[in-house]
Amino acid sequence: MDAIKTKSGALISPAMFQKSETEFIKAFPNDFKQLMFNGASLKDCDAELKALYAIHGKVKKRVKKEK
Amino acid sequence: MSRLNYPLNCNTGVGNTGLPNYTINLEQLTGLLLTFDGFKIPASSLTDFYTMFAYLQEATLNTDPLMRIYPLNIIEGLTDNTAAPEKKMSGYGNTKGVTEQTHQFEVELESHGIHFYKNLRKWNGRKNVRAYWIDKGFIGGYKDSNGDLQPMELDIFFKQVKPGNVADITKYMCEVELKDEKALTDNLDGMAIPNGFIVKNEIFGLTDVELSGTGGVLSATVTGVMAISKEDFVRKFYGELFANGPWLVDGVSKDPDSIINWNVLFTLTAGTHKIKLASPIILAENGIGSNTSGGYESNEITVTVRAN
Repeated sequence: MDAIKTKSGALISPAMFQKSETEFIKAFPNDFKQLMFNGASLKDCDAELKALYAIHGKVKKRVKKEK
Repeated sequence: MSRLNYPLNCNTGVGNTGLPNYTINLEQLTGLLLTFDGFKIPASSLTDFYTMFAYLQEATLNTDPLMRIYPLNIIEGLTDNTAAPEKKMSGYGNTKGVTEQTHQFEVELESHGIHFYKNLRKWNGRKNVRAYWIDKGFIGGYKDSNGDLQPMELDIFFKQVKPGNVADITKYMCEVELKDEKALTDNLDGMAIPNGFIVKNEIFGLTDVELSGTGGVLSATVTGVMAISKEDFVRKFYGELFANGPWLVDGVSKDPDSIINWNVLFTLTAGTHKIKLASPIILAENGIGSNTSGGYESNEITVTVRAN
């Protein structure tokens, strides 16, 4: 499984990016999110996750279109 | 001339006394490979030492705990407390027979701390314990009628720890009783250890991993430490644990969804779930331990996952 590695060193399964953006953000418990983003506020954590999803989630969608 | 009718070769069955050029000596007990009744090394794996040893190494990861090898390569002293043979005397005081006694040894163990010793004491009172004898020069057991190498039948009792004082170090001792009084003589069989091969560096037992978990909203977070040393297990095998195979959720293999700072996240449905590491052999296939360096085994945790 080729994990997506975040700047903070978190590994995220590609399967997580198959979820919708809302489901993706909700899938991480609050304390887990804060570990992922070095204790940032929950609002900032969600913004970071949204940005992450924008990169990896979009790639998935584009590949699907090309097929 | 009459002939006496009796067999001429009267010494049939007596051991000949020609001196051998090469020998295996019973020197020093350096370890025991503990196991249970039912384990044996098949004759097909006794072709040479390395084939036999590979069989033993593989058995350290066996999924069935009763068919596993538990190496105890930490013996650093032995006192023989075997009782003197019992002589049967005739009415006139002549020796008519000798009955040998079961072997009784007091064995001194290398110190690996009290928690490790607590683990060893779980062997006390266990039935059907068997062991292969590791001498400096050979690994021994006894051959059965099929030519398989069976472990010796024994009782093992890890004694109360003997705390040290100014003059003495703390001692961890155990009593070993070999049930067969001929285990180290007539019935002994085994394989010589090749020169330069150090058994204790090539075979290891399993290490316990203590998992803890917290259920959340449609997810659970799991952490794990080595039960004795408390080293972070997830940290040690960070990449390897993020794979298909090392985790079982409700008995089925499941990939983690994320890992951060040695916390493993699983997304799950609402309800209770049981999480544990896969069997030692599956972990080894995923690069977590091996049959030459020792494997890992975890407890099973139950987490309750909420819907919202």
